[in-house]
Amino acid sequence: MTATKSVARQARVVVLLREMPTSTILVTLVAVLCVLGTIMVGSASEVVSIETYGSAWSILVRQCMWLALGTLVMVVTSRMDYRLLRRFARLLVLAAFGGLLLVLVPHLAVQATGASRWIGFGSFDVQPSEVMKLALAVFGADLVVRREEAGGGERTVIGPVLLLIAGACGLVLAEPDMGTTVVLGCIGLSLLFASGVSFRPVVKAGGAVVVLAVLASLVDPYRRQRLLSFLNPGAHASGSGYQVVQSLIGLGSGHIFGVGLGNGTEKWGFLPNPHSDFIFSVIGQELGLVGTGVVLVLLGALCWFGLRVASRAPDRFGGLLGVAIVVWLAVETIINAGAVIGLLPVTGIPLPFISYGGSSLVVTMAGAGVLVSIARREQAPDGGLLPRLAELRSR
Amino acid sequence: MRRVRVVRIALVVALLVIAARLVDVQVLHAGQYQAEAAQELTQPVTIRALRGTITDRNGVVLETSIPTDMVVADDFQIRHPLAEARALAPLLHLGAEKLAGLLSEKSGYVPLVPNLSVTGAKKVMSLAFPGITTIGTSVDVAPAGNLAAPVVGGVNAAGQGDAGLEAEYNRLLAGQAGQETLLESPLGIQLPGTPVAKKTPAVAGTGLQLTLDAPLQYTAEQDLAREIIASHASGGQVIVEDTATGQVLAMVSLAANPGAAGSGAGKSPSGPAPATPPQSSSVAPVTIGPNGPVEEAPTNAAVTQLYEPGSVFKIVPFSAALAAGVITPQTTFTVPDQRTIDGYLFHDATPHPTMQMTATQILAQSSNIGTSFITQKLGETRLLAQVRALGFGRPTGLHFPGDSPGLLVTPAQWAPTDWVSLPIGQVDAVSPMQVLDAYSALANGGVFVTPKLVRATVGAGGALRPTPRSPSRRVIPQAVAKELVPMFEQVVDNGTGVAAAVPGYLVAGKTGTAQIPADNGTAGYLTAFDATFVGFAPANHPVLSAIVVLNRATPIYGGAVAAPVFSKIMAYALHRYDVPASPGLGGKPQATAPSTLTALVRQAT
Repeated sequence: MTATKSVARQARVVVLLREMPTSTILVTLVAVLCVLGTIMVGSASEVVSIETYGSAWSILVRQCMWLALGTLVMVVTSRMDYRLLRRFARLLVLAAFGGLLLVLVPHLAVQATGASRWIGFGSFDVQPSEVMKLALAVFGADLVVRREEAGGGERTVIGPVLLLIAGACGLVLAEPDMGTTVVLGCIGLSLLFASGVSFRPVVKAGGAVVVLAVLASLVDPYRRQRLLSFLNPGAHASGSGYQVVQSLIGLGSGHIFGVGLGNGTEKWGFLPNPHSDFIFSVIGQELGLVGTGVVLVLLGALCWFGLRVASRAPDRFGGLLGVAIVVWLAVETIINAGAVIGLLPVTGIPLPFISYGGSSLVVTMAGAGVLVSIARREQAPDGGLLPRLAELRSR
Repeated sequence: MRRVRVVRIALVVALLVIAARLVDVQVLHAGQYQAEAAQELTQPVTIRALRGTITDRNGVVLETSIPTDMVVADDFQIRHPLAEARALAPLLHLGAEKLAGLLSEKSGYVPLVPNLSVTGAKKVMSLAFPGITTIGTSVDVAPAGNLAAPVVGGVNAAGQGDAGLEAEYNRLLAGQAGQETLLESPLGIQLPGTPVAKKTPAVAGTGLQLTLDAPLQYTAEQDLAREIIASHASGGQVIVEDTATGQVLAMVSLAANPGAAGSGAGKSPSGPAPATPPQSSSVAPVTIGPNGPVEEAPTNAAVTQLYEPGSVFKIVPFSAALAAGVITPQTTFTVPDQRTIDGYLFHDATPHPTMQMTATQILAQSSNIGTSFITQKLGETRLLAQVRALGFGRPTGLHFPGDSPGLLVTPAQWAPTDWVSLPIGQVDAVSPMQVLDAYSALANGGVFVTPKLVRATVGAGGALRPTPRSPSRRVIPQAVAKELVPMFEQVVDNGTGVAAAVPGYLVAGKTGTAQIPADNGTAGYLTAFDATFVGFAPANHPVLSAIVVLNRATPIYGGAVAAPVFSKIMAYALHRYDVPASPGLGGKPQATAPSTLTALVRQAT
């Protein structure tokens, strides 16, 4: 009896999730991630915050301000018809390119740790490469759809998109920002992949990008050091491998349930950037495997349902844009978590919705808003069970 | 869209890999990482033990270690640097502006004051400013100033004795440092909510009660300092000893400080001489220290400095010749005032016609030529044996760093004139302590008592543990000692040492004036002299012995510069310990004589 009941309950949950409007699921996931992220930024940043600003709360307060702005942006983008974006696609991509060029102008940009990635507006710094992620997804999806509609064959699709990717990646690589370059590359390539064009030229282009990336890594001593220390963190334990070693100590010492929120020790000067690049490690130490698992499941679920949105999108532009945004979030998650657990080189990519980061959080939330906007117009799968049930009840 | 499914699968695979790695790190290897985390947080902190206190024989503190607190700021926690600095400044004895600067350094660990009194630290903590903490420290202080500094020695910044008794007894005085293990961040910040993991309390050091007597030490330092200034000496040493027990009651090593303002060197000591000889209490004390004309010597020269002692060494040939039976006190010699031996001209200190002298007169007048005739009768072998028998050539057994055996002539170095030079103290190099020990042995009726500086150790709660009795051995036959003491009395009665006399007491002793050897390695001598007087009192029943040495004084003679200082110090000591006067001299009325100083000191105070 009970067994059948429990099976029935599980089946009901699956059906509910299947039939629930994906927009609701997405908004819920993003909200939970943002709340969790804000709490963890508060905990992870207190020491750095006192050190930098003299107050334990400064960074948390800033994060809340960015979160408020991000929420506003997400509300706007999710309420707006995503198809309107096609009109602003050109403007958006031009602005992003303009920003990337400005960053490279020596006296305008804000420099930090050997890289110039920011443009300063008073106390707020904006990172144009973040804007480029959304711009690339929107303009790229629009470009693919327009070229397909023009009917000029696959070549007229692949060529311009690859050129767009190369332009964006080249400028970001010049900052230098290896991680964002990879994210941009993946966003662009995912558009081509999802568009259904033949594999070969895409694979060729992708291979070329990977080879170029590796070569670029080996030429620049800063990146070579990071790559080498990733391959053998123990040998560089006091130098560039230090952060990975500390990250693993943080994760491992958290065990299953963690040392408790706020009780982490790694943030006291052992782990660099505990509130941004390595916040996943702080979560692991303070909340244990339970914490890291929850974060991973939430982000995985967001991507999973994001892909459902893409496949249920009412038009081709929406489908491609959905895939691009999901790949953007997924790649950032994998690169950040992969670095924290020592499987990928450390590149300074934030964990979406969780890491501290001003423009990055706002742009990510804008992307999530666009995804919700597509979801609000999703077509229910094969008639849909819930509408049918509603139909039945109404009879 | 089939390709969306490919993306979905890739996503799931990637997340599964990450999840697997998380399980590997957070579950399978959690123990290893927990250990590493604990290890990198653990900071062992040493808790310094309080050093044992060094006191004089009556408990007057010469050097002690007192608990203090170091005040430290974690300036990240300081909210209002300026306001808090204003409140703290008077308690920490720092300027408010300087303090405000320290409180806004943003370094996490700013030591503000290294040694604040415990009561002061309590006041600081009562303000309850977040980020202001105290750490237990200690500071070594000498409440008696630099009194007996070369004997007591010093403690280095690490809290380890590095000179004098502080070094010799460091293991005893230092105690046992404790340790506690704190959990700290790389910046040295104790993490909140992490209690002290392990704590071994410090064990305070054992104290020392010295044999020194602070008032006598002070008097000896003052009297010697005045003479150094008056005679333009480069330095001097004094030791006063309890003859029966070997306990050192005063041990002084001073050096002239020609650089200091008001230095007596090359100038007349002070204004016009007062009409009446001043009482010692009315004389302004000499400042002994870096700013005074005289300062404590860098080392305890009374023990560690070797010098050729001059005629005080005549105790060696006279005691040996009497013991060997080659002379009696009345044996007469025909003594000219000079004599050539192996091409070298030897002479007495003052010219005199060739005359008949008894052995007693030869000693009293310190005739070098007369001594040479006695040594001739004694022979080289018995002479050298007596040098060693009287304690020269071996450490004194005082338990003091740098306690030197001295430099005795070896058979290989033996020169044809040495049998003349050695008995008059111009061959072997010895320490003032060794010379005094030989005379103390004579005072004891021929029994050599090993000297000592530590009377007792003081354990926890002030429990006194007396040090064992000093070992003793006979070095002069009792009968010989009985004959020899009156001969040395003649030195003070009518010989070279009359200035050493103490009214009311019979004093026995000997003067010495020795040319200082050149320190450039040649056999030559400088035209500079070390002046010595060594002796004991009362001669009829010896209780105290003392030696006074003045280096490079003008006038040069032991009888002129050292003997008067001996007289002053010995007079003070005899009165301080209520030593009964010698019979028939009209001094203090004779009481039933306590036999040793220990008994006397118990009576005094």
